[in-house]
Amino acid sequence: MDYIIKTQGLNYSYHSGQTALFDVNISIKQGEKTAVIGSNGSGKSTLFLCLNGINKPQKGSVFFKDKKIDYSSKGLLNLRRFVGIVFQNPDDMIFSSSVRQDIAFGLLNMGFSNSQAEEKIKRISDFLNLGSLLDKPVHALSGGEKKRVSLAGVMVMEPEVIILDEPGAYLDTVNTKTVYKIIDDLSLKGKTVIISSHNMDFVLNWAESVIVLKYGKVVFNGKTEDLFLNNELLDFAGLYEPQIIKTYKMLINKGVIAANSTAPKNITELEMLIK
Amino acid sequence: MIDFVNSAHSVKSINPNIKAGFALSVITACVIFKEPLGCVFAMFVMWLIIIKNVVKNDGLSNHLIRHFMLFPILFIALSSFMVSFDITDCGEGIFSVKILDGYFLTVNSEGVKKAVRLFFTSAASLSSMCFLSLTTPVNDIVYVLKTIKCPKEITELFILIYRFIFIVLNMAQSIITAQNCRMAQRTFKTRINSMALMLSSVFVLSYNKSVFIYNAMLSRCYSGDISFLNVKYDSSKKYVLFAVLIVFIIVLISVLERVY
Repeated sequence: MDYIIKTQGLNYSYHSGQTALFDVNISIKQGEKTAVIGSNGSGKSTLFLCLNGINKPQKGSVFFKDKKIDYSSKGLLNLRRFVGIVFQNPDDMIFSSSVRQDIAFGLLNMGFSNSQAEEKIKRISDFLNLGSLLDKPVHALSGGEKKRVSLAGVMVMEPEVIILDEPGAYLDTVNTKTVYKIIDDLSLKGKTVIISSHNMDFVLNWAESVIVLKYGKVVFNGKTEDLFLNNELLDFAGLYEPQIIKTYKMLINKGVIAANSTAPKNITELEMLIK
Repeated sequence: MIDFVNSAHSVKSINPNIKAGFALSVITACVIFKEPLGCVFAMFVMWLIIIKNVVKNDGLSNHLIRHFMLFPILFIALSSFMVSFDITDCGEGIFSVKILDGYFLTVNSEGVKKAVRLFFTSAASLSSMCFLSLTTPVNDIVYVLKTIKCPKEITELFILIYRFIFIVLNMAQSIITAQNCRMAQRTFKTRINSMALMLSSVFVLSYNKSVFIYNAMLSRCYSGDISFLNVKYDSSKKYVLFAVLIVFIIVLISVLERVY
């Protein structure tokens, strides 16, 4: 078993009749860092909801560890133990009266006892630096704190796959960095992390593979570098070229670096190429 | 603001059942006896606890007294004052004014007594509620509801409604700001129109928000029941004894006041 999550011929339409996903076939390897990108309304969030079993596709199937998703309540609960999703807007995720109660929500649903839940909450709050916020009411939190709490609520359930819908949305630079650091840590822990993002520099640096959606269809599914070196595809999908790639191409044109060199993913790799 | 106060002080760690039981027993004693002295004692105890534990710790005295005491007390005083008036056809009493042919607006000693009793009973009950709301965060109230075996549906609704109050308020505030940026307050007509638009938008957005929150709950293995984490509280007997003693004193003062 190589792929942890796979979709086959996935079609999803909303009640209004609007098609959100059309014949989506994707495969995500265990432990792989995957980015799903595309312009607004391309179907990223809908795809994520399908992967978590919240949206049931009208046609096609979703597989978790080669097992087709069973849409019975037991089957869905089982899937959601292993596939966690963090929504774009933290206000859509947190609803309990206090941070502690909100983080505990998933754990108690999974059947953990009070003491086990407390222990796990302690661990996750140490990891995400939430210790001082645990007894605060959720509406008293700042945007960055809310985001960390929404992350904690999913991470505490220790899912094998973590889906993050635009993790940098609604955050300032400092909080965005913190959240990106958390995502990196998750990958280092061996979790399969799937994100959607409009920050192409982050996607280039972080993702190992990229899925590009346009009007609900997959227009690219492959290595990150292959996408960002393909200007035609970027234009077609309405995406922009990361600054590093732009600089890399400019340096090739000026003869500073060799044309057959590997494309850099970040500033350090670009520096190495120049040296 | 209650939540900010609630999350900081030391009384918070006391078992909420004791606090709720204490507050409700005091209210019951005051409402049953309706004796001013007993009510004054109840108010004194409640505000002593609030000032000693909440106000001093959080440094919110002015704000707190203005919000939780002054305005409601003024309201109660005005209402009680109105109760002391009566419309009679004889015009006897402490004060009397002819309003219609054969009818007088009068204030008699019975009316004044009734108003004084009503004022002190309401003020004592209000103080007890202030004590409860300033020392017990909403999740502790949920704990109390669970203890008294309140139906789960009500507890869950309570939590969700509480959360939505803030979500809806935020939404409304954002919409009002956006409208004001575009001259929504220019004339009375535009004001009314903007308000109607804001209310309809808030209604639709709240529905959308509820769908998102429901999805988020489902994604975290929600299967119909919201489970709550039981937090450990300080349930020392000294608090129970204190509560019983205070209620006993209120009852004793009230009985003595009634007898003598």
